Amino acid sequence: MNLLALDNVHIKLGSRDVIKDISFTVAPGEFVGLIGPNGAGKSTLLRAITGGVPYSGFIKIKGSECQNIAAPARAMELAFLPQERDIVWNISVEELVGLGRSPYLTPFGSLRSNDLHAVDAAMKRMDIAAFRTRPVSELSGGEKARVLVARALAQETPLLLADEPTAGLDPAHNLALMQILAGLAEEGKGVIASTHDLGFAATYCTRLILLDQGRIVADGKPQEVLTKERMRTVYGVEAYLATVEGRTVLQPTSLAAKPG
Amino acid sequence: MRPHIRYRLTLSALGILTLVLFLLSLTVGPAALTFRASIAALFSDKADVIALIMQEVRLPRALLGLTIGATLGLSGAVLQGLLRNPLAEPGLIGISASASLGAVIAIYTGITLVFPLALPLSAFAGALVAVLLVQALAGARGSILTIILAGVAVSSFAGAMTSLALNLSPNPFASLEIMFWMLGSLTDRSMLHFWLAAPFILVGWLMLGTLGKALNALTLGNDAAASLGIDMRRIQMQAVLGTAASVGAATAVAGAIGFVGLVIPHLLRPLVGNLPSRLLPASALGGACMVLAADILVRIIAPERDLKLGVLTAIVGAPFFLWLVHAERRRLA
Repeated sequence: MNLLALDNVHIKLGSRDVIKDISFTVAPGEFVGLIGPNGAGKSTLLRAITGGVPYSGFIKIKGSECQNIAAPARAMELAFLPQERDIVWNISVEELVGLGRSPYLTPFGSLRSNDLHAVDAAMKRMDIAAFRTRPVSELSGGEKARVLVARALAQETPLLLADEPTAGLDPAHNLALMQILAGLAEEGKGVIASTHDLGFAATYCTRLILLDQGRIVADGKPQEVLTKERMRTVYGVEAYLATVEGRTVLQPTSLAAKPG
Repeated sequence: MRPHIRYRLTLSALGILTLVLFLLSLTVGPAALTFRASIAALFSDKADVIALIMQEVRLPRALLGLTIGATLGLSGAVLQGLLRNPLAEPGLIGISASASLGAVIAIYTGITLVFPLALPLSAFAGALVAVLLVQALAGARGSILTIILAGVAVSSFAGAMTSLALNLSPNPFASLEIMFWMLGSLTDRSMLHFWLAAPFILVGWLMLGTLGKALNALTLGNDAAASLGIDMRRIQMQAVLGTAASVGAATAVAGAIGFVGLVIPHLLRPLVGNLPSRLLPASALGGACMVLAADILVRIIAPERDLKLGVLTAIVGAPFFLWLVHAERRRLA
């Protein structure tokens, strides 16, 4: 069964149609790269799936309409890594990762042994256990990104959505994070990540969905979706596109001439 | 020391300190009573002077200090967590100013002379109107910023109306009474005041005290909190109404006691950590300690002059606020 199914999802923000009748499904094991230029609607779409934005149409998680699932129950199916990375209170790394267990706790409940186990596993996976007691204000950008992913992993959901998880990371951290997300998909999770790193997306994602002005322009295997023609028409750039040692290399070279 | 051990130690220490200050509050006063005699009189059913002083003067004062202090500390911690802003406190969303306005109207019109309970009742009505107004201004899915701005607007308007009442008051005694009431004090309150405020305070505590988990999730921002199963609209409503009920009732019987909700969470964060859920019980106890201590101090510093509690908390709190702004500026720079 599909983990996630969108059917004619339409989102209006104010008077503007940001997402226009989008449909797609995500199965276990898929790592979907959500790509498209700024303002294409990627973040809005992800926020709607996670309950942050009202929509019309249907968003189904494991066959049940999202709006009919209680918020905590939904949070056990789907974890979300938003673009906002500002952590307002200076809590420790393990306290932050522990927040991923929120849906499982009673109002006054503290973390039980299975929660602590999930937190430990997530920290080990993201290789952050060594600095578990460190306050988040003392983390580097790369460390913070890993800690935030660990928080989402601690939620132990079959679906993981991430809004530009690799933004602001150096190439090594960027590669490492994409490998981890790909690894999660291989273990049977459904992963959707929006990104502007088209080369990495083409290399690691099993599938790309290209959004432009609120519509899906292309949906398929990375090499089918990323073409010079689409780089020109959707992104407005001329691009160098090649396959080197089985990996896609994509480098925008110049702005495309305006049509007409 | 492991954080959760330090947290429990701090809570225990605060609990003991609260108890000690509560007992001290019962035994400090112009009537020179021994500790043993005053505690015995508290439970005595004889109608002598000592029993009267204990049961009708000091007990309500100590109980109000305890509950109002806890209310101010708790609501400060909740609002800082909700608004994700370390400078937030109940006064910020207009509750203190409009509760004061309600009380001022009651004094100004003279209803209080005929019906003493009109004072707390109209103060509470003022707090409720403020909250409904702020919610209406901010809209159903109002953002945090619109709530703060609406609070500032409501506060300014209530302040202006209060000044107008002082300005136009034909009776200098009414003006004086208004001024004194606005300074905030626990002097000369009866058990009736306590029983009037207690139900609202209790309801407010229940609404605010259960927010810990949601406020923790909010540390990561609105979108992440929503994805963790937190219903943002409900949380916001619960926090604002809980503050209105408890702080409204507190202001209604004691006047405006500022800065407790601001200062206490800051003093306690280094001890219990930055997780909002831990700060809530600690701030409630800390607030109770601060108000009880301040109320004991005003009796010791100037027993003859009726030094107002709100004046003392402001003298301590305002410089603290300045220091805080300075520290925040350094952090943001």
